[in-house]
Amino acid sequence: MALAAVLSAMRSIILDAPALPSDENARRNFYREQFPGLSECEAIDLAKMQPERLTIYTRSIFSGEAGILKNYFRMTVAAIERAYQRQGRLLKLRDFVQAMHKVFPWKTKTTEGLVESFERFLAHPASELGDQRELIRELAAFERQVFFARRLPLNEYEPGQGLRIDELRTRTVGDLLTLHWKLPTTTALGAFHWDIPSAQAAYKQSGNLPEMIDEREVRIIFSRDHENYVHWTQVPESVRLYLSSVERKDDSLGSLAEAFVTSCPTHSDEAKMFSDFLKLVETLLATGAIVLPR
Amino acid sequence: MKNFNLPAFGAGAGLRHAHFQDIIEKRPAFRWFEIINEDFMNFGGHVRECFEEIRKHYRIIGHGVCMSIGSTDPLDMEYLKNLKNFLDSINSPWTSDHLCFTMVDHTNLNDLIPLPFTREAAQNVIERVKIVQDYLERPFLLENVTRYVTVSDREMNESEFINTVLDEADCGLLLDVTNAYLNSQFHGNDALEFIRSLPLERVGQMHLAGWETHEDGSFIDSHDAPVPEPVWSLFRQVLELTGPSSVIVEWDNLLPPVARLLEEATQANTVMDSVFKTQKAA
Repeated sequence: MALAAVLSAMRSIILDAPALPSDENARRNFYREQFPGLSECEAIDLAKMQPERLTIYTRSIFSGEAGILKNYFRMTVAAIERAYQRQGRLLKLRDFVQAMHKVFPWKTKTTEGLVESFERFLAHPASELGDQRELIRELAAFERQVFFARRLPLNEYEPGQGLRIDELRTRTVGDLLTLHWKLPTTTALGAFHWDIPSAQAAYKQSGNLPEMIDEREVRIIFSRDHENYVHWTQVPESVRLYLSSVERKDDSLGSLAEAFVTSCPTHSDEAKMFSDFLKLVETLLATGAIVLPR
Repeated sequence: MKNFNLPAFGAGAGLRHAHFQDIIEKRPAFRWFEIINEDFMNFGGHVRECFEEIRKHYRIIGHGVCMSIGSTDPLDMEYLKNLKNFLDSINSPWTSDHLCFTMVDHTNLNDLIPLPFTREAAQNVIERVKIVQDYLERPFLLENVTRYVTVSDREMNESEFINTVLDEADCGLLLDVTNAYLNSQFHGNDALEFIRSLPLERVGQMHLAGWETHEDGSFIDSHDAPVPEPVWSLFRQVLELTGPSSVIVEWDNLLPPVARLLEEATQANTVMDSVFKTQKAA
C-alpha cells in the first residue's frame, strides 16, 4: 500500500532524523534509495518538504518526551546529569531521548510505554551511564513505582473500604490471624540495594540529589491510601517475599505473621514480636498497601 | 444543518491539572471544559478524584490526541473500547481527534503529523472514521492540524482533502481557527478563503489558541500564549459564516492563572455575543 510506505518514510525521516541533502533532487534520490517502497512521484513529493521544517517535528517530539520523563523521573534525570558530568559531558535530555529512540522506540499510545523504553535504555550500553548505571536504574525503578501507584485505577479492592484499624483492635488474636488480606492494584513491592528512600527525602527537601547515596538493602511496599496519597513503606525481606509470592499457602494475616516472625531476631520476646507485627499491619492498612475485605 | 446539529455551548477552556484546585475551590464561571481524553482514561488517584469533583459542577467534553485516524496501522480497538467507556461515563455528547497520524509501524511519534492529500489517504481516513463513529455511538469531529510541511498536494489541496473526508465519512469538523491562521502564514494562502471553502455546516466546535514566536519571526504552534489579535479577527469573521458554536480556548503550556484563562474564554463569548447581536440588529 503506497500510503503505508509514505507514512513509514515520514516516520523515519522525523524520528531517525537522517542528515538530508539540501538540494531537492539529491533528497529525492536519497529517499528512493532509503525507502524503496516509495514510487517516483512519492519521492518527489517528500523531497519538496524543507528539511528545516521537518526538524521542527523532530525537536518538538523529543523535547516533549524529555519533558514527560523529567516530570516523572526527577531524581533519575538528576543522577544521569551527574553521571555525565563525571565523564566531563553535559546531558542534553532531548538528545538522550533521541538516542533512546534508536534502541527502544516508544511503541504504545500510553506514557507507560515511554517509561518502559526509558528503563530498558538505562540498562543498555548506549545510555553511557558509566559506573553509575546500577544506581540510576534503581532510582528509575523507585520513581516508576511511585508513578504507577499515583496513576493506576483501582479494580476490586479499594484502600479504606475494608476493615479499619480501630475494628482490628477489638478482635481476639485468634480472630485477627484468620482475617484475609488483599492487595489493591496500586500496591507494588520493590527490592533496592541503595537507600533510595533517604535520597528521595533529601531531594524533596533540598531539590538536589545527595552527593552520596548509601548502599543498603532496602525493601519497600509502594501503595496509595484512600485519600490518594502515595506511600513507600520499608518492610522486612521476608514480608516482601511473602506478599509478592504467588505460591503462598493462603492470604491470611496468620501466614503474613509467620513470614514476619522469620525476620525477627531469635529469642525475641513473643509479646513484642506480636506488637511489632500489629504495628506493621496497621501501617499497611493506613497506607493502603493491603485491604482486609469484610 | 448548522453546527453539525450539535448544541452551541459558547466558549470554555481546556481543563489542565495545574488548575484543578483553583477550579474546585473558586468555581470560576467557565461555561464548559474540554479535556484530553488520554489524560483521564485509565487513570485513578488524585487526578481522577479532582476530575470527578469538577465534573459535578461543569459540562465536560472529551477531545483526543492519540487516535491516529490517518495511520495505516490497524485501528486500536482496545483504545476505542476504553475511550467509549470513558466518554459514556462522563456523558460527553461528542468527541473529536485530529486529522493526522500519530503512530505508524507501531511506533509513537508523539505529535500530530500531517497526511498526504491523496485519494488513498482520504479513503483510509473515511473507512476508519465510519468504524469509530459506529463504535463510539456519538458524533465525531475531526480537527484541522497545523502543518509545518505539505506532504503531498499532487492530487488535491487541503481544502479538497478535508471536504472529501468529512462528506464521505459524514463526520463533523472541529475548526481550529488558530491552526488555519498559522497554516496561512506557513504556506502563503488566505486563512478566511481556506475556511470559507470548508463545509461550515459541519463545524460542531472550534479551537482558539496562542503560539510561540521566535526572534526570526517564525512560529511554533505551542498553545502557550494568549489568543492574538489576528486570530480574534478571523474568529469574528468565521462566526459570521458558521453561526453560534461551542468554542474552546486552548492554553496548554506556560499556564496562566485560572483567572487569566477565564478572561480569554470571556473574550471569546463577548466576540460571539457581539457578532450575533449585530446579525440580529441587521
